[in-house]
This record gives sequence, structure tokens and C-alpha cells, in this order.
Amino acid sequence: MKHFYLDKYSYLDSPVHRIRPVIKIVASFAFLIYVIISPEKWWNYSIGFLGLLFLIFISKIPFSFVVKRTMVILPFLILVIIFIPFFNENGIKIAGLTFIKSFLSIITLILLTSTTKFSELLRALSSLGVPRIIILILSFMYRYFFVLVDELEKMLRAVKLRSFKNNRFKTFSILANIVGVLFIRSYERSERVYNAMSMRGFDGEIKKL
Amino acid sequence: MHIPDGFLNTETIIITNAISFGFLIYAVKKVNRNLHPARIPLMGVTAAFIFTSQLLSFPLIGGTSFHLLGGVLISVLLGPFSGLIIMSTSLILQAILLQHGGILTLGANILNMGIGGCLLGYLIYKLFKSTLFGAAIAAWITIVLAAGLCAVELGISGRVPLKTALFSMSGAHILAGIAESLITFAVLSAISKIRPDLLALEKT
Repeated sequence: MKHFYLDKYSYLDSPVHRIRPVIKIVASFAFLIYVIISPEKWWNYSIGFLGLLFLIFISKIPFSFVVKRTMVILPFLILVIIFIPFFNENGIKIAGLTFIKSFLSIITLILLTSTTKFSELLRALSSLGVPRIIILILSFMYRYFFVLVDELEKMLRAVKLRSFKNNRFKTFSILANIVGVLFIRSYERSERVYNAMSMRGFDGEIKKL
Repeated sequence: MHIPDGFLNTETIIITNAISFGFLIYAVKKVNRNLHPARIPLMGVTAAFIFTSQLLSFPLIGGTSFHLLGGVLISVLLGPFSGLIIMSTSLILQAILLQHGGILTLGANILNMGIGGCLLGYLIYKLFKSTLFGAAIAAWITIVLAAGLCAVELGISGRVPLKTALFSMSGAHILAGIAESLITFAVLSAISKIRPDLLALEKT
């Protein structure tokens, strides 16, 4: 089955990809904080923007991908813009500033995750002191998300084959049943995964060679 | 409802992160105490399950649709603190890989959907003597609360007028809350029909 990739450009090779993940994480985090607390001046944001643009350029990530990803801030921006009429004349300035800050932050994150493989990102986060259980859950999610999406798609296809057209209430209850079955299958899968893992010596700690 | 970076001011960021990460650290400690190794794959795959079922959109009135949040669902199944960890990791994954929600606003998002959704949701579920009906009520309350908290955070940050945003955001989510509570109820009753033993898993 065809899937969208969560970190499809992280396997490219460029100077940005080769920087150590820990350094990239710390630098991105520092820049995010800087964007929030730095002086609200145009030159300040322009320098940040040009810097990010340069990094995207040398890391060979397609610009169209970055633009598409930044669209997720739009619903919130619209929310803020809707309320401008209730605001004083500051409204447009607030909306503009919010947009710029949000835009810079999101590009930083896109740059971080598109130039770092997820496994390396997790290893770096783990060495930065993120609790083991959170790292393990994140890696399980990354591994089994696609498997469960496959199962979900199979069940949805089966429903489509069997029911020509249902009314809204019927669809609603069928979908809820599908979610219930998906949980049961996830549970059973986790049992099998645990059996396989414990055979290989898993006791709450992943052993590496 | 995932607040992106840039939409909150410094004070709100500090306060929400302090609250959320305080609770999250407590939850990690609580879950780590006598943790059975089988629990780790269970929580991991369940987190993937929640993430997957959030992709499914349920048809609502008119052309609108709704997707599950699942905070109450997950804490009824695995317990409130496991639920909080799972919701938080789900939010972290969405923030770093899909940019749904920011990094500095993680605290706010965990507060709205994790602490409100799992801890408080579970408390309400317990108040109704752990019945499916209680889970449905809890699901409705947590959705309206999450929308309300989101409006309050944006309002305190000076991005939207507090009162108007509070009423319109939580008002708009009354319907979504009903959808969430119907789905939570239907999913739990489907599980109790097929594998009733799964409703009695260890809850931490």
C-alpha cells in the first residue's frame, strides 16, 4: 500500500544532514526561544528568515514541500484574523507578528526533521535526557503507525465492498466499531511483539550491540 | 486545536510548560514503578493506535466531519497516567514530524488535551462509578474544556479577545464534544462485546 512518508527527505545527503543531531536539536530549540523573546523588529525576523532560507537551499529540501508543510498554521491564523474586528487598531500588527513568529518556528522544525533521520533524532533526544519510556513509545509509534494504517485501510475497504450506501448513523457506528476492533488488534499485536522481543532478551531495556 | 509556535507569549509558554512537564514527569515516575516489560510494547502500539484512529474522520451534521481525540478512551483502557504519557508522545510526534502544534507550545497542548483529556477525564469517569455512560460524559467535558483552555491561552497571550474567544470556541466544540462522547461510548461498548477482558487491563 502507498503511504506518505513522515520524514522522507531525511535520507538525502548534504552538509546540513551531516551535522550531529544533538547540535541540530539544541540549535533549533535555541532559535525557537530566540524567535519568541527577541525584539519585535523587521530586520531581526528578516535575518532569521534569510538564514533559514539559506539552510534549506543547501540541504536540498524542495521548497514546495516546505511551503506545503507551513500551511498547517493557517487555521490558527484565520482564528486570530476573525477576531481582529473586535480588537483595537493593534489587531493587524498582532496578526502579522503571530504569523511571522509561527512561520519562522515551523520552518526551523521542518528543517530539523527533514535533515535528521528519526532514529538518530530519538538517539539524540535520549542522550539529552528524555525519559526512556517516552523514547521507546515514540519508536514504537513510528514503527507501528504504518502497520495500523494498513489494517485500518483494509477494514475500510471491506466496509466499502459490503455496504453500498449507508445512512449517517450507520456509518458512524460502523466507524466506531472499526476503531474498537483496531484497538483489539493493536493489543493482540503488542502481545506478539512482546513475545518476539522477550525471546531476544528484552526486559524493559533495548539491548544494543 | 494543536497550537503552533508563535501563538503564545512568553509567560503563557513558561506557565503551561511548567504545569505539563511537571505532571508528565510525575506520570513517568508513576508508570516506571514496577513496570512490567510487556507494558512497553502495549503502550507503544496503543499510542500508534490512537495516532491512527485520529486519522479517521467521522461524518457529522452537514458536510462537517470530526476526528477522535481519544484522551478519555485511552485512559479508560490503560489508566490515566499511561494515557497522559501516550497522549503526550502522540503530541510530540505530531509536533516534530508533522508540525501539528509547536515545540514551545507543547506544554499548552499537553495541558489542553493530555492533562484535561486523560487525568481529568479519568477522574470524571471514576466519579460516574466507571460506567460507559461516565466515559461518554467525561469525553464531552474534556473536548469542551480543551477548546476553552485553548481560547484562554490564546486570550492571555493577547492574540484573541479572551471573552469572545472563550464563548465562541467552547460553543463551537459542544457539537464536537457530543461526537467524541458518542464515539468513545461506541468504541468502548464494541470492545466490551468482543474482548470484555481488555476493559480490565491494569490501570496506571
